[in-house]
Order: sequence, then structure tokens, then C-alpha cells
Amino acid sequence: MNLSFYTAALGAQQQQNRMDVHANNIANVNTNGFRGQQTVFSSLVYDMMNGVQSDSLPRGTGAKLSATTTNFTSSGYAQTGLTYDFAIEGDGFFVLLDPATREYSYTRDGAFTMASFTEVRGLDGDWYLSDGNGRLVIGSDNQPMQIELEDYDTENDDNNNNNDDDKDEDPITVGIFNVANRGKLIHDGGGRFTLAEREPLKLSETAKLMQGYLESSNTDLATEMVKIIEAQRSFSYALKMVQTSDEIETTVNNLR
Amino acid sequence: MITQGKKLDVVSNNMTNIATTGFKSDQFVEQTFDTVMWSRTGNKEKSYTDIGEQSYVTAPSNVYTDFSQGTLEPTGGIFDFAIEGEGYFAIQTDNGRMYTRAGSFALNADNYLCLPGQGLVLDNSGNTMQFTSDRISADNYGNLTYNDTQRNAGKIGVFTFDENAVLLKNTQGHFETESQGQEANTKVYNGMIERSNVDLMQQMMSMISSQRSYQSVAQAMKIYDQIISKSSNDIGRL
Repeated sequence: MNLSFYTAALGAQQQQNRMDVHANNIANVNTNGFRGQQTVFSSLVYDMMNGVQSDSLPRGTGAKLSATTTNFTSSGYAQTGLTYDFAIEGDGFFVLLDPATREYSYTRDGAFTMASFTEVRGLDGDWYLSDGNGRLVIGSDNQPMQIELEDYDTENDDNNNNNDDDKDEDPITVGIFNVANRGKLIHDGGGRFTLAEREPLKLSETAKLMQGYLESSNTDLATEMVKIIEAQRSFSYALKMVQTSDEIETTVNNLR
Repeated sequence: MITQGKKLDVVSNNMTNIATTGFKSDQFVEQTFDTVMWSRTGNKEKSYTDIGEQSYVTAPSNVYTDFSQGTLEPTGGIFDFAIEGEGYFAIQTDNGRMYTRAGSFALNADNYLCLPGQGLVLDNSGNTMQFTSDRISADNYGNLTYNDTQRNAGKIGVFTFDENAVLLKNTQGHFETESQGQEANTKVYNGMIERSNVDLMQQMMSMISSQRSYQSVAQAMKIYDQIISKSSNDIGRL
């Protein structure tokens, strides 16, 4: 049948998908710790048509949006002054633990709150640092981060560790963990990422924790606008081809 | 008409691949099918006199690939690479080695550098590349180093061929060849990808011209239909 019609229609559809990705980036321009996505296109299967000397000539059947990659570069920070707002300077993620599923998720969004998990066994009625959606924040000791009801301060050693004076170790802070291969992180909504296979938590050595700051979204509006325009133009370009193919069909239909 | 239809298929594919990384556009060339000699015979003298050559149809002759450089676009991706100048990345697939200009690589589940959905990327000596972490930086020739230890992490392989015509598009739109490429020290930029080299204007023009030829042929067919109907309906009537 009229292959060019379907090839072009598919192309227009894929451009629409691309538009969706960039629309999501733009919509998240104010989401804390958001990491934007980029689109990767690849060609679809080539089939062979017959040439003159019964040689086969390649004929493509369109393009597909083959992957979206996440851009992990960090952007600016906004000072909030709140005690439970954290930002990461450098490479790494906060790790959240869902008490119901015992699953870890990674995030750059450090807008945490205090919450008690009375219904979860083992946590009793103590106060824990939470992401506000029922997940526990993991501390630098790989355990859920517990909050003493005294004024919490990462800078101040005495205040934080007044319950275990026998220990002279580093104070427990919010943990920043590294993932060896960030390409494996899967977007999981709410600015969180999950790993398909669980990895042992590995503390980041280079990253610095900043309290009272939040990391802003890494969406660059200018770039996104360019991409949107590009997608729109490609879309109408592909539709031009659909139109031409349609006219071809009209020609065929008008033969008689 | 069928040939023009096929030409439109090729143009259509080029047009939909304007966003495909490292895509090289195809150009459709048609040629006349076997020519035949026309001759006439006289009314009384029955010998044949040649009056010229004539071809009945045009047929697809070849689909050439335009190997010219596409523009480089900065993406900031860690494993995005773009070649400036001659050369191709080598990808090890299940069906042997293939070559491509598409440099949007990623690490797979076993931390091997791969072209997603296709195969593993080969280094300059033809081996697959495995990494311990994705904190990698690269110089302008594809030499990779780990950010933390400054240790060398290999070099992305770029291979060139004496003649690009030996490269044939496979069913995935990448290139396959029988001949061995030579490892080359071409410029490879990190954090960039090469965009498709489709020329919008040119494709639009060949689309329009192809459509018009299609319509002309259809017109000729219509006229021929009328002639036949004249001869069968009118001439036969007495």
C-alpha cells in the first residue's frame, strides 16, 4: 500500500511524543530537584525494495522515539532557611525508604518534614525525617533518620548527639548516596528515581550537604522552547508529507 | 507511477528522520528499464526499418546514501558522542559488527557501553567497553578518563573506510560492510550528538516534483484510457 503515508503519519506521532517529554520538562520548571529528560530518536526497520537488476534497495519505514535520557546536571540553589530543607552540592542522591514496601528510592528533592510513623512496627512513636509522603529519609548510617525533639542542627555536634555522649563519631546527618550507573535510574514520579535491581547503598565522598537550601529544577526554559519549536516544525513537516500522500491517493481515485 | 510512489516512500522516510541521531539521508535514483528498438514496416515492402529506441517503464535504480556531516548539537549527556569528520562508531551486535554515526550511547545493565537496543560499543582495538562508574570525562579524541581517579578508561573506537560506498544500510538504518575499517584518530566530541543530515528544502522539493510526476503519469494513463474507450466504443459502431 501507500507506505509513505504511514511513514509520515508515524513520524508526526513520534514528534508529538517528543513534545510531551519537553512539555513535562517545562511544567516542572519549579519542581525542587527535578531532572529534565531528553529524547533520542532512531530509525525504524528498513525493508528492501526491488531495483532494476533485481538488486535490493533499502527503504526506511520511519523513525521512533527510542529512548529518553535524564540530564543529571545540577542547577541553582534557593535559600529557604528552613531546618528540614536540604540540598546536595555535587554528585549524589538522598535515599528514601518506603516503610510499606521496604523499597529505596533516590531523589534530589530535599524538602523534608518531620513525621511520626506510629503504624510502622519498630519505629514506635519517635519522630523521623520524612519526605512528606510517608517515606523515611535514610541517614548517613544507612538507617532511617531519627530526629531528637531538641533543635536539630547538622552543624552543631553537641546538640545533635546529646543522647549518646559515649560516641565520638561523626554526627549522623542526612545521607547522600551515589549510584554507579545513573542510566539505570528509572523515573518514578514525585522527582524520585528507583533502581530495577537493588544496589547496596554507597555513601558519596565528594558531595556536600547544605541545610536550609533547596535545589531548583534543572530545566532550562530557553532550551526547552527551542526543542518545542523544533518538534512543532518537524510535526507539521511530517504532516505535509501525509497530505501529499493523501493527494496521491486522490489522483489514483480520480483515474476513472 | 509505482516508481514515483517508491520515491515518495524514500522521501517520506527522510522527512520523518529529521530528528534521528546520526541519520544519513537517502537519495532515490530511477532509471529507464530495458530499452527496446522501435521499427516500422511499410505497407507493401514488409521489411523492418529502425526508427529509434524507446523504453516502456522507469524503475528504481539505486538508493544512494548521503554521507555528509550533520550538525553537532550539544546535549550535555555523559555518554553522548559525535564524530567530526570521517569515521563511524563500531557496534557489536548479535549479527556481527555494524557501523553508525549515532552516538547517543548508554551503559547497559552490566555497565557495558551500548547503543540502546542495538549492541555494544567497541573501543579502538575492537573490544567491548565496561565501566565501573558513569563519572567519565572525555577529551576531543574519544579518550575517556574516570573523574575520581583520573585513570584511563579506554578510547571510543572510530573506524574509517577508503570508500563510503562499501557501507550498506542494514534493516536498522545503520551500516554494514564486508570490508575491514581502519582505526582512525578522528575528532570525537563528548556531550554532543550529530544530528540528521536531512536537507528539509531538498526533501520538500523532491516530494513536490515526485508528486507532480505522479499526477502527470496518472493524466497520461487517463488519456490512454480514453483512447481505448474511443476505439472500443466509437470506432466499432457502424
